[in-house]
This record gives sequence, structure tokens and C-alpha cells, in this order.
Amino acid sequence: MAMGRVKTKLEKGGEMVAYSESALRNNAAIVEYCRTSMAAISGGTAGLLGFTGFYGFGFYVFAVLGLWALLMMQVGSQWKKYFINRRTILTNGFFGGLFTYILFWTFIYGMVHVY
Amino acid sequence: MTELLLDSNIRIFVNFSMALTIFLIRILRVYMIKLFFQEEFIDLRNIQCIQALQRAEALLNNGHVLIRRSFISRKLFFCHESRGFFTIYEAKNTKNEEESMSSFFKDLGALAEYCRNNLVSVVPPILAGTWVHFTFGDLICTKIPFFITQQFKAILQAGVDVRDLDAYWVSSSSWYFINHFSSSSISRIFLGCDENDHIEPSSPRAVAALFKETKEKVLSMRENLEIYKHKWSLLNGFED
Repeated sequence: MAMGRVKTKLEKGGEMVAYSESALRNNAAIVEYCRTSMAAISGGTAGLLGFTGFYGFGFYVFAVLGLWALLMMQVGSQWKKYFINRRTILTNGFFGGLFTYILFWTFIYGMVHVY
Repeated sequence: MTELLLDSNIRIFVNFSMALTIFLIRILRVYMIKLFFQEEFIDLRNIQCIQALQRAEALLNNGHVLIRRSFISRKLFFCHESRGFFTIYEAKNTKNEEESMSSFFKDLGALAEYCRNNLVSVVPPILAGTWVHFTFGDLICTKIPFFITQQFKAILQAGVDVRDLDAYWVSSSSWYFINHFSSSSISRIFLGCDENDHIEPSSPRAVAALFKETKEKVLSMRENLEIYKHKWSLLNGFED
């Protein structure tokens, strides 16, 4: 019955670390919020600047990496307290964010550069 | 390939107004969901029972470190013939079931729920799509800023049958659908929730469904406790 309350992870030294499930979910939700905002804002920027083709997609990759770097700067060396895995923050929701990015990119590009 | 020159009025009156409409419809749907799907009342007795089940499981797992007398007193709290927690729960449950409504009304409730679901999640987009289709007809309204193959023409240029048109032009009906399907994450940011949230597993509705299983769990847990053979593990071979 107590399933889903605590998540454990085996460290390299054989030590077991326990994470609170609800706190992890809360952190993931906050990161998701940041990612969607980043996708919308960077999509708008790409549209305003008039990026087309691969420049636009490159800008998205740049924005994703930038957000990840900022998050890592914020949590610093203590990231193990808040997240189980550092790489999943980078890769999770990449394509979901890409859809939002493309929507904003196309919308703003259409508003500014097409007519 | 010639470059098209679009009327700049399309920018405000089609492109912008459509995005605004879609956003407003999303707000409408979120409030419709709040209206139709009120949080289900969760029985306090059920919560009590879930927690008792957790404690019983802990007792089963860790009972071997307790001395016999403590184990038996804890076991009696759950399984005493007349005053045990699970015994009382079962007795009350069987009485409640006889009084509860027949299955016909339950089916009716499920049907009503199905109708409400449809009303909230299917009807508004269809209405808005029809409105876009009839009002803006088959205008070319925007351009996608990246390369795309000819296969996408059918998706992006619904209603515009011009063979020589480049694939990156988007007709207004298609633009509506693209907007509709990819703006749910945006609405989650602006409105704090989404129209799909009410069917996600974390919602109280799913938790209520979980509670329906408690009856069987109580039965099996009680049996487990009855047949559990207590043996104190801290001092091997020592009987108190």
C-alpha cells in the first residue's frame, strides 16, 4: 500500500538513497513549466528574428541547452538532492517542447515576416 | 517558384483573431470542466481503512521483530472477532451494500458521465472548426519557416487545391487544427490546468476508483493476518 511514497536509487558505493516521490514529482512539474515557457519564448524570438530552416531548429537546441545550463547553475553541486538523474532533465519532453516552439515560431514569423 | 504576396489584413483578421479564439475556447472549456466535473466526495471511512491496511501490511512485514504479546495485541486490533477494525469494516460494508442503489442507476450515471465528457471535449472544437471553415474559408493565411516535403501539402493546405503552390504555405483550416492540437501545454501555463487533467491518474476520480478495491484487500489482509505464524527473530530459539 505504501508504494509510490519513496523512490530509491542505488549509488556506486552500494549505498541506497531514498527520494520522496511527491517532491520529485513537484520538481518535475516545475521543470516542465520552465521548459514550456522557454519553448514559447524562444519560439517567439526565433520568429521575430526571422530564422528559417535549420537556423530555427538550431536555435531550439541552443535554447534547450541554455535552459539546462541555467537549471544546473541554480541547483549547483547539490543537484543530487533534487533530481535522480541529471540527463533526464535535458532529454525529457524535448519533442513536446519542440511542438510548442514550432507553433510560436510559425505564428510570430507569420505575423512579422510573411505579409 | 514565385513568392506569394498576402493581403496584410489577413494578419489581423485571420491569423491573430484565430489564435485569440482558440485561446478563449480553451478558457471556456476549462471552466466547463470545473462546472461539470466537481471533485468527488471521498469517504472518510475509506481513508481510515486505507491507512489501517498500510499499518497491517507493516505489521506483516515487521512482525517478527516484535515479541509475541505485542504482536498479538496488534493483530487483535485488526482481527478481533467482535471489535477488530477489519471485522467492523466488513460488517458495515455488507450492510451498506444492501441499502445502496441498484446497478441500473449506476449505469445511468456512467452514461451521463460519457455525455458530459463528449460535451466538454468534443463539441467545442468541432463548433470552432466549423466556424473557421465557413468564415475564413480557404484562405492561405501563413507560411511555415522551414522546409517541408510535398507529402505534407494535403495536411497543411486543407481546402486549397492548387497544385503548383509550395508546400510551406498553410491554409486557415489547417492552421486552426495545428493550433488546436499543439496549444495544450500553453493553456496549462496560462490557466494552471488543462482539459485533460480530469482523466489523469492523479485526479481524485482515480483515487476514488482505487477505493473500490479496498473491500477485497481488507478481506485478503485479514486472512493473511489470521494465518501468519509469529516467530520472534531477535533471539533465535528463545520462546517467551
